Amino acid sequence: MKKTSVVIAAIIVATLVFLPIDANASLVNSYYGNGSYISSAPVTPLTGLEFYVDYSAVSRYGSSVFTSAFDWNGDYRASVSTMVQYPASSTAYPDNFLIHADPEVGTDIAANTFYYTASGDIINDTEPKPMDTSHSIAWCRIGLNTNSNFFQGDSAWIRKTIIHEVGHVFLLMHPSGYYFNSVMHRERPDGGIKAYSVTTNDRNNLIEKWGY
Amino acid sequence: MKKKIVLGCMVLGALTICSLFLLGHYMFEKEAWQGLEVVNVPCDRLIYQSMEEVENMADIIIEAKAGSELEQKNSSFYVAKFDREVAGSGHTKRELKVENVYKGNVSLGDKIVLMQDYYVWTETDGTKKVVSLTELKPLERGKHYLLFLAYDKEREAYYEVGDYQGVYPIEILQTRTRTGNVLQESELNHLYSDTEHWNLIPILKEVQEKYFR
Repeated sequence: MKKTSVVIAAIIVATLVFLPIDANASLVNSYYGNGSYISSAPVTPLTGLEFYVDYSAVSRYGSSVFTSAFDWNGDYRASVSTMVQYPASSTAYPDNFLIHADPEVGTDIAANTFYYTASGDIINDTEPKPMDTSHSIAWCRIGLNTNSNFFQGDSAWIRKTIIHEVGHVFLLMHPSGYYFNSVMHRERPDGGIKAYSVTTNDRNNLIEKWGY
Repeated sequence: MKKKIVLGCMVLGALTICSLFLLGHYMFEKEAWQGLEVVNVPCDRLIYQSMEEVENMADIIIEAKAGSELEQKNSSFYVAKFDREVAGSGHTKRELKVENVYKGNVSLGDKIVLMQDYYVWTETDGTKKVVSLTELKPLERGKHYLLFLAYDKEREAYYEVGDYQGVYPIEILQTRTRTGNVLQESELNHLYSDTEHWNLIPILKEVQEKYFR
């Protein structure tokens, strides 16, 4: 009887001690959005993301940096499956998400990600961002700065930018604090908190969002 | 004589009506972005860790009064999949009148052009939206701001250093500094997006201490 009471007490204490820490840890590092792609979208994170990189991007940044998108792949459901690049013709890949150099990307912006509905309307959800609230995403486009000097010749920074924007296509958001390392932090990477590539935190978010 | 008085009154009346119309037009006319839904586009951009960094990156540091929107530009482009033009990046230019200079080659009274990363987009069904590539909301005409700006030669306009880290509303910061009350984050929502305050507050405190104390 006494033994049973001790065991029960130990279980209760362990629950009280460890449960809040566990719950807290999960909350703190969560930065995936609640949005989703429409079920009829031909390309989604679960079918495997398919991109087309056009001439404007390849001519400025070369072709090798874009394969960095595959760094997202791992032993889980969401993935990047295709990265078709110029000189392949875009007309053969109409559903692929576009990566290009956008002439109106702001002076101090490395790149941005746009979400569109099935009819091509830009998604107009309110704060914080479409990937957190919209369930009508059908197509995405990544716009890179046309000024390649922005990256100061740092190809690792360009690669990080590609990975970061593809993270948005997976509906991951910017983390809200510099207390863990992630490729989803904005700014130039430093190999520390502002990671060059996909981190364990990023992969955990991908798994939480899209499943094993 | 009577005829002249009547004529004079008519001219005076007409002038008064014209003046009131112009005043009303300036003060109460809505700007293109007001009242529209906002599309927030996630951007990977340069952000700074301290006020000193923001100051160093700025070509000019000024206090200025926001004037009217001048023009907007965007990079819409054709997508075969949709058989239509879709929205791209873009910006809106706005006039600023310089009221105080802390750094840079501008003078009191100069009018300069600020470029903010938002524009109004019209979909094929006529729906208008504000496409915003910034954590800043558009500056309000007639309001006063402390600005840390860098110059873009190609676009011939200034832009905010560190986006929201380069713009501070003067009235509210002066009031809070004078009364010694703590600035509430909710008071910033008319200017800044409410998603990025954690990255703004430390620099805002430094700015308040240096420029408003």
